[in-house]
Amino acid sequence: MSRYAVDKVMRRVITDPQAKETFLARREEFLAGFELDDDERRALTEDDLTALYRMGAHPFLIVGFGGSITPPAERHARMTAYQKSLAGLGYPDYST
Amino acid sequence: MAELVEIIGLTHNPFLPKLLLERGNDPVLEQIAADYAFMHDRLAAARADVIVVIASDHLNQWFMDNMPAFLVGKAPRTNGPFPHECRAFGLKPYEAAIDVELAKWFVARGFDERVDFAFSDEFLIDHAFTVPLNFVRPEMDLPIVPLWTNVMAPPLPPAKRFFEVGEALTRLISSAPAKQRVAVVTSGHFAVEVGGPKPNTAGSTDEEFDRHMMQLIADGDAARVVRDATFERLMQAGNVTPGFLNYVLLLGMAGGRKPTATALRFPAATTAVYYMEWALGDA
Repeated sequence: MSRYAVDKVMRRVITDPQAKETFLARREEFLAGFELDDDERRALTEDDLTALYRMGAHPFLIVGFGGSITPPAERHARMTAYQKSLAGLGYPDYST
Repeated sequence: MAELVEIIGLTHNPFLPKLLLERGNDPVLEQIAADYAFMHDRLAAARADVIVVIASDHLNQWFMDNMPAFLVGKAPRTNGPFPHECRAFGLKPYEAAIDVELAKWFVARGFDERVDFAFSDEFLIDHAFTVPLNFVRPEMDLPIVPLWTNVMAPPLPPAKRFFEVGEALTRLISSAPAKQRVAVVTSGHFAVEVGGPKPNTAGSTDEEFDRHMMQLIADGDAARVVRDATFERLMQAGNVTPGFLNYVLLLGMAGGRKPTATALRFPAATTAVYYMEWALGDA
């Protein structure tokens, strides 16, 4: 578990347009610079926002991250689906 | 000596400016627009020389690599919000000079008041600052002192600590050497969830919490607010409800006085919108 590194990846992608471009174009290369475990790397590579939530990634960052990597036209549908997917998952500890 | 003349608490809901612009004839949104125009006028009537703005940063610049519990901004000028926030929410910019002398006073004399404020000479202000400022002082003609609290990255200071820092700030303002009228504008949340299982686009995530807390605030029952605003209860109301702690700080600043005015509205499309105001000056 390296919640801090996952949060750091998401924050970079949210706040830095160049980092976002690199992330979207060459994910493995981008993520190689962070100390992530296999599950985290997979979730970030596959846009598995629900898995990120379950692992204790910061929910506020998940929303910003999901929004920023999704084209505007698809954003509402994706984030609605994400929110619905959390039913029954409760509130994982997201402190780092 | 400086004088604390006005305290105002508002929401910084980033969806609110657009909702109000496009409100049509929605009666609740009409009421909120009138509320926030009223707060603008109350701040104007206080004839403040400087606004101390107490709010949070949404992991935009203060992050878990180095997270301050309470931080004072003391650069000469600031602006915001962050470009990605403008893209996401279509927010208006805000720019202000900073009252560096007062900011430094808070840091330097804070130690005597048992508050070790962190400080920064390089920062932006995010929507937690720009949204309320654009409501109550769109003129951008008064200097501010930005003061950040950590309500985003646990472990957070407990409610008791927010209250104590509020008490300390009131003492720091009344002992500041410059003869100036000081207003305080604070933003935070009542019940709200972002990125969790509860939807945040259909009203409050916990109306009972909202009503309970606003009633206690209106009654001046700060001790009970401090007791009830545990991290667990705030999280139960919605996973970013700890933003409520900024109002606990205000209660400390108000020193047990009942607010002059409060309002709590429940629009259909978003979380509760409200204000709380203490008019303290002789205006």
